[in-house]
Amino acid sequence: MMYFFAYAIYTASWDLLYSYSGQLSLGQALPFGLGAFFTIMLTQLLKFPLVPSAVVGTLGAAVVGGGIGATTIRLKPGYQGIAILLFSQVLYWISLIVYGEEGLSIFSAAPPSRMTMYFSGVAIFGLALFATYLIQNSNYKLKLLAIKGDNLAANVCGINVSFHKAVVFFLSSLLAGLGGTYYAVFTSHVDFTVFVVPNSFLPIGMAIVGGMGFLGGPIIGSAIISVIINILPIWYSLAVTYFIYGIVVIVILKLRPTGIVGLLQRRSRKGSSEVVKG
Amino acid sequence: MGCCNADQGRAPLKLLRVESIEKRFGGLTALNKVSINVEKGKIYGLIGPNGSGKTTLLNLVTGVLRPSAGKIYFKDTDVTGKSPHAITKIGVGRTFQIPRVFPELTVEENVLAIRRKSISNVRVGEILDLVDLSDVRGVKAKTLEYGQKKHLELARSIALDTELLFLDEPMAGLDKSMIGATSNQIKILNKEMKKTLVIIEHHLEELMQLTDYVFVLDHGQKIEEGEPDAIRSSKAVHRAYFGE
Repeated sequence: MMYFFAYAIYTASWDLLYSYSGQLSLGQALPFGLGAFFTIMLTQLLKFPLVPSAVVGTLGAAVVGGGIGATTIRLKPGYQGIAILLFSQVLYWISLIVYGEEGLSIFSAAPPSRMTMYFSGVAIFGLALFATYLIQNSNYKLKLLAIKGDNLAANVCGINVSFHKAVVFFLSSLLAGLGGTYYAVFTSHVDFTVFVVPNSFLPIGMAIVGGMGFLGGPIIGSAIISVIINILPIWYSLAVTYFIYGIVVIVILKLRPTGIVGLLQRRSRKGSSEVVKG
Repeated sequence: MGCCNADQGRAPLKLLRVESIEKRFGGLTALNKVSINVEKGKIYGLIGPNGSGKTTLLNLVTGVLRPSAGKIYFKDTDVTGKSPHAITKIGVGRTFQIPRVFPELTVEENVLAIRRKSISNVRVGEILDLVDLSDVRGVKAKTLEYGQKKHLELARSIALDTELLFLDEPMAGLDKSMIGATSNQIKILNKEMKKTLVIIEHHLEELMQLTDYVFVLDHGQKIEEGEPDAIRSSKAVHRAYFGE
């Protein structure tokens, strides 16, 4: 369940960036990993208490991740995605060189119980969901979709495209950092593998399966993919697990690009129109 | 240089001043020392053969391109090289030759996304009425016909509530009835909404009937300016369009 909370927030962060402002990150592990590393570094190296470390770690991920992202906002989505992926790989090597393969473990005089972690997961998951809901139901969403639709037209219509893209990058990094921080606290450990490429592609697969641009998309997508990548390895090898994960993403992308939530919404609209006809 | 007589002796307010503007793309000079003045409340035409630099001038004034030399003033404020969104906020709006709508938004959302705070929801409805898009307000913009997309751009420009509006070929690709509707909308924009308009257009007859004053460009240079009748009889304009 705790993996699910972390992944759902992580997926929502990628979806906010792509589905609303049209920016593509192929290296979303960058803010996710920064949140995890900053939090554990603060507890381990500076002996900060856990909660302030988590708050500062998340904000640090937002500032650094958002700052790095902001340097790419003028690039076309494909190039932007690759640029961020490369930045994330720089962090992969830095974390490997500085902390080695063993990485860092959390230092806390009073580590949180599983129950505390569960409820704090519910709380931050609810908070992230509420923030996404607010954006979805605001005029700001229209502004972002205008930017996504046509940068130049939005610009000559008085929208400061670069500024809003940077704001969305910051918000996305904040959410990803929050997910990373939570992940690091409940696993009590972080190492260079948090920046690996498959970790960056995880929220993309989850968003595709759940449905991009829908509030429920990241929830459904991360629930399904969490089950696949965390439960299947009990019976099958990792290769088989990731093969199944890949097949699920490809099948959804091919047959239902709007994802499961898109399919459900279409069904419910069909149902209600039949009721009206009847 | 202005176009029209001052009302009751009062000097007309210069809204836009373009001074010796130049734009070079590598070795190609797209605009060469062009100067125009636009006074408040009038309708101007900007004409010239294809490739004469009309859209380049529009792109320079609205910040889409940066000039190689020269200055642009809006109400005596230097706006040279400012970003498009900043220029729009100062009071200069525009449409595009090939309409650029926000495809995934509905017609109504296209307007709501960019409207000024002074434009209420009721006013948005009135704007859509004016451009004949009320019936399709809930339809995604990407599914609109070409002419409807042009009208949607016009609706967005009205919702931006800018004093000066550049319309880039608003009648291009439209049928007779839509051209008539567009002419009426332009008159309403000018007479009732008090907008100053600069229109780039190849439908010269319709344009001449609408405008108070016309600028003519050819090969990146201003070759003529004056009232429509004077432009009609100008030898320089005939030469530019039909050759010697």
